Amino acid sequence: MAKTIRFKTSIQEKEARLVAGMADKSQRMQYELYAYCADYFWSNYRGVLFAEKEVAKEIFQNAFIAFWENIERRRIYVEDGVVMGKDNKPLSGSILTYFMSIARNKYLEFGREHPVYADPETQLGRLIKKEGIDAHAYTDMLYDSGENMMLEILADVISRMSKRCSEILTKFYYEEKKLEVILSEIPTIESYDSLKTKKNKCMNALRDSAREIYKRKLNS
Amino acid sequence: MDEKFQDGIDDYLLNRMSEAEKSAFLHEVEQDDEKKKQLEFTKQVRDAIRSREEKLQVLTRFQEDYDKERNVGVGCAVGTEFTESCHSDTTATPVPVRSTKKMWFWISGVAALVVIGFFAVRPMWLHESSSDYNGIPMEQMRGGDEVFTPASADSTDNDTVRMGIDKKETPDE
Repeated sequence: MAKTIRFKTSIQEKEARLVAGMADKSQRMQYELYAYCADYFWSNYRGVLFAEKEVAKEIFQNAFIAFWENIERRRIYVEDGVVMGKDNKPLSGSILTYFMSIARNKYLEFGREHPVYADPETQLGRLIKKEGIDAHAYTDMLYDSGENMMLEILADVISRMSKRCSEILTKFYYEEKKLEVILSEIPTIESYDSLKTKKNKCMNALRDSAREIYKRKLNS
Repeated sequence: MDEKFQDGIDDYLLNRMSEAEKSAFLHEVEQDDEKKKQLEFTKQVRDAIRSREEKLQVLTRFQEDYDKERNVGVGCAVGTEFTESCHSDTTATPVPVRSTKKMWFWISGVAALVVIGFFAVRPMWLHESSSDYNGIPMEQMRGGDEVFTPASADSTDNDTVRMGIDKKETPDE
């Protein structure tokens, strides 16, 4: 059986090593990949996103988490020393390009959710007006079509949740605090019932958004 | 969403149920597809939040290491997020960017003067060395420097022979 011989550059080898290390949960490799992406992002983000520093920081963080989760769920992985992507084909281009595509999609989504940043007078507004938001490209980049799809959609929706919902659900499901304790930690919520209602509303909003995206993805 | 049942799901997922309560709860879930879906959804929300929070904690540590590394390794490294806060950090050693800029400004200024001066003077050198050069225009107007040079031996300027036309001066005059 004929075997294709692939020639790899030192950059491809380095990237394959980083992705493999990330998948193996090597902390050193995780940090190396983080620094590799951060160097590239902060040198180039102004050409990709027209965002203030604080917004850019948030986008970088969310994009890196999505990138990390894509590696964990083997949406990108290493085979025979080559970084593989969609449809088990070698990733076209560098992992940095892949990472920046996630960042760009996160940025456009951010603009859609924060209309003040997407004002037609701003550069982001002009960009959205010119290019629009390609929902298909966005979901394709972030969501699998396999069994993990709902989890991936939820991860993305959670990253875009309001601060208040994020705070309540994190304290409840991650820190495993009881509602009484959470109530004492968020003095702006006046009563136990009010907190419980807010928590349920957040869950409902999450469910609605995730279901809508899920349906869209299935129909695409 | 069945809110009352959601309380049961939360208690189950957060291990706030006795073994007997757990069995009864799971039995209830088995009987109802909607409840099964609700339990599955809540599990996924919990897992997604956990995954995100764990990563955020690691990223916070990475960010600190990254800032330190870039600060120690390359000072205010160009092209990093750290660059922007680096110069505003009062504890960091100030980089003499202004004085370096000033120095280059002066060096380029002097270089420019030298180049301009060279091109201004050069045509005069070229002109002087050519065969039809008769001196600078001012010299030509005043007749040149030869008026100050001693007259040659055959010049009539130094003649002592009188042609007899000189009038004799008498003591009466």
